[in-house]
Amino acid sequence: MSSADSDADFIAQAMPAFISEAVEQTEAIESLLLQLEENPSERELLDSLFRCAHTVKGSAGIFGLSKVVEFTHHVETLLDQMRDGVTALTPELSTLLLQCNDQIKFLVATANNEGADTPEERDTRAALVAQLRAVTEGSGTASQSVAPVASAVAPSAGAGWCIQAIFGPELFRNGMDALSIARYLGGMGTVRAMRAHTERVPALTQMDAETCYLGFAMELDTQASRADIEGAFSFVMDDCQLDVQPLGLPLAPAPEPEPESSVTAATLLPTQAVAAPENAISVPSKPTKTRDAGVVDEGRYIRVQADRLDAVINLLGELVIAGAGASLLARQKQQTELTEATLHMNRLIEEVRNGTLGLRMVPVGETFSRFRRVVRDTASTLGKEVNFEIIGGDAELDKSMVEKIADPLMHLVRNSLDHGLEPPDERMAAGKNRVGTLKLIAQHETGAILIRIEDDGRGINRERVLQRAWSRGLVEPGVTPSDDAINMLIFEPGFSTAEQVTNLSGRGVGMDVVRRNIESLRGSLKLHSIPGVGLQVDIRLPLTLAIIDSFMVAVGKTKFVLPLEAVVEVIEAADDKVKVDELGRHCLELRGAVLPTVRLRQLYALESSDPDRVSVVVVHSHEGKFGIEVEALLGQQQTVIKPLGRLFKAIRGISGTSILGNGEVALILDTNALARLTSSEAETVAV
Amino acid sequence: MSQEFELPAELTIYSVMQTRDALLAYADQARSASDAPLELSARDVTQVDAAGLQLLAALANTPLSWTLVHSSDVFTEACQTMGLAHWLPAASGEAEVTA
Repeated sequence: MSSADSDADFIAQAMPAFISEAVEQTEAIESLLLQLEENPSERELLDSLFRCAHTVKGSAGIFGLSKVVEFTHHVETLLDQMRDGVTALTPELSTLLLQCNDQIKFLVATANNEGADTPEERDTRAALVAQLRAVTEGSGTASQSVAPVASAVAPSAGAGWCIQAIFGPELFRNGMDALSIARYLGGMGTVRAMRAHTERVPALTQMDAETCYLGFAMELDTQASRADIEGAFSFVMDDCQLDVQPLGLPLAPAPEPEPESSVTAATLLPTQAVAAPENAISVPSKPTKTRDAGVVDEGRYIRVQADRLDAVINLLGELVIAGAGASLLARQKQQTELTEATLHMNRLIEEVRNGTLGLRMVPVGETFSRFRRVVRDTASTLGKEVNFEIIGGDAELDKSMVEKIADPLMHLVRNSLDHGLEPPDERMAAGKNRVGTLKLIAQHETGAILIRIEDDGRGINRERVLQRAWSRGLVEPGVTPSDDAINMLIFEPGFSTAEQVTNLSGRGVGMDVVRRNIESLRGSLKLHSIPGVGLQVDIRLPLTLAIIDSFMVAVGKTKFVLPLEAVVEVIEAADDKVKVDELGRHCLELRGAVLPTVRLRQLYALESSDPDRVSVVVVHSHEGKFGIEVEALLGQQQTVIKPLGRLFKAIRGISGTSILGNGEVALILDTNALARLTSSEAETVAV
Repeated sequence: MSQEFELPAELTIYSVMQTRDALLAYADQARSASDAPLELSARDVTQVDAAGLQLLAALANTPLSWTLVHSSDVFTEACQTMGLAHWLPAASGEAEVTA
C-alpha cells in the first residue's frame, strides 16, 4: 500500500474522532462566549476561548480541511487581539463571534461532504470574514482596553514577554523537565533576566525528591508571538500555572501560587493591581466558575464508543440474571456455603453494575448550557429581558436520557419565554422587575432526578385554557375540573396550535410530545402555576433505564414487579377490610385515611384460587399514595428491564418486563398509570 | 579540614532519590564534625535536570549553608539557564549559599 493510501486510510479512520472533538470545542466556545458577555474582562475566559479556536484550527490543519483552517484563523486573530487588550468585547462583537462559531460548527459538520457547502453558506462565510477583518485590521491601537494591564503597553508584536510559570507537583512524574522548557524559551530570543522560584521547595529532610515545587520568572526579548511562548508549555498545561505578559513591566517578587484554579494576571503581579483600578472586578477575586463551566478539560478523560459501553452494560444485565439464577439454585439445594458464595458474588455484581451504569452518567449542565444561546436569541427577538440561571448543573443523568430530554426541555423553556414571561413594560406595570427570571434547576432525589423550569411570568391562564378545552371537546363543556387538572390540559394532544410548535432539529415538538417523551423515560410531569406570579414545571426522571431495584409480588401464577423506591409499606388485609363502592372502586382504611386501591386480579382478569387474605402494597406515585392488592409477596431483587413487546404496549399499568432468575418473565407495574386507574370506574384491562 | 560532597555524574530525576539520601547522610556527618558550610562539588556532573537542581534548592532551604566549590560546564549552563547563577562559584572566590 502506498504511503498516500495509508495516509488516506488514517484520515478516514481518525476523522470521526476529529469531528467529535471539534464539536466539543465549538460547544465550549459558545459557552465561553456567553459567559464572557457577563464578564467581559475575565482573562481566563479569553485565554480558553483562544485555545479552543487554536485547537480546532490545528487539528483541522492535520486533516487538510483548509476551509476550516482559513476561517478559524480569522476568528483566532480577533480572539488574540481581545486577550491582548487591543479590542474590547461589545454586544455586537459577541453576536459576531457567536455567528462565526456557528459557521465553524457548520464547516466541521460538513467536513466530509463537499456538496453541503452551498453558495448561501459561502456568502455568509465571506460576510463574516469581512466583518472580522474590519475589526482586526481596523483597530490598530489599544482603544478602550479591558486587559488587566493598565499601563499603556504596546501590543504584543516584537517587544518580548515576561513569562511566569509555577509548576505543579506532578511535573517530573509526567516526564517533563522545567529546565528544558527554560532552555527552549531561551532559544527563542535573548533572556534579559531569569529567576528561579525555589521558595516552595521544602527542606531537604522533608521534601519528596520526585515532586516538583519549582517555578520561574523570565524576561525574554523575542519576536515570537504569545502563541509561540505558550506552545513551549503545551505539554505541561495540566502541570503548570502560566502567565505571559508583554514586556515592559518589572519582574514581580515570587507570587503566591493559587491552590486550584488558575491565576489572573492581576494576582500574579501585585504591582499592577494598584495601577489598574477600573478593572477592580478581576483584581482581587479569583475567577470562580470559569474553570468548571464549559471549559474543555484536557487530558483527564478516555474517549469511549457509546455502543461498546452499551454492549458491556447489556452483558452486565445478563450477568445479573445469571447471578439471580445461581442464587435460586443454591437456595434450592439448601447448601449454606454455596448460598453464601452466591450472595457474595451477587453483591459484587451489583457493585460492578452500579459502577458501569455510572460510566454513562453525564452532568446535565452540559446540555443545559446549550440553552443559553437559545434563551439569549429568543428573548432578544421577542423584546423580552430575561435573566437565565442554571442551578445544579453538576447533577448527573444517563447520557441517553439527557439526549432524549433535551428537546422537551427546550420546548418548555421556549414556552416560558413565549407565553410565560411578559415584556418589560407589562412587568413594570405589574410591579415586577423589568428583567424576568427563568431558572433551570436540576436536583437529585432518592433514585430520581428532578428537573425544574421556573419562571416568574404570568403563570397559566386557567380561564383561557378551560375555554379552549371546552371548545375543542377535550373536556365536557360546563364541567370544571380541578386547578391541577386544568393546568395539565396544556399537554393534551389537540390542545396546542401549530404556532406553538417549536422547530427543533427539523421536528415539531409540541406540549403533547413533551409529555409523551417524558413518560417514555418513565418520568412524570407536574405543574405549579400561580396566576400573575409564575409557573414551575417539575419533571422527575429515574436515574437509569436499564436495571431496576424491585419488589416482587404475585397474583396466582403471574408475577409482577414494582420499583422499590415506590413502595411505602405492606399491609396484610383480610378480604373484608377492602371496601367496594357502587362504582366498583376499591379502597382501604389506613390509619384513619382512605387509601384507594386497585385489585390486580380483577384488573388483569387473572386466575387465582381467591384467597381470603390479601396483601396490600402501599405505593406512592405522582398522584399520591394508593394500594395494590396482591396475593403473595416475593421480596426484593434487582431485575433487568426489557422493553415491552409491541403487542403489550397498549396495556395500561405495565411499563416493561423483567426476566427473573429462573427464566420467568415478570411484568413491571407502572405506578403512575395504576394510580389513575384507582380513581376511574372498575374495569378490566385486557391482557 | 573539609570534605567535599561530589554530586553524581547523573544529577537527574532518575537519581534524585539516592542523591538526596546521600546528601542527608553527608550533611549529618559534616555537621557533627564542624559548623563550616557544606562544600559541594559539581565537577563530575554530566547530566542535570530541574529535579536535580531542586535538590540543591531544598538543601538551601534548610538551616545549613552550603557552597559550590567546583562546577562542570554542564552544571554551570544549567544553573544559568534556570536562573540559579548565584550558586556558581564566582570568578573571584566561592559564593556562599544560605537559606
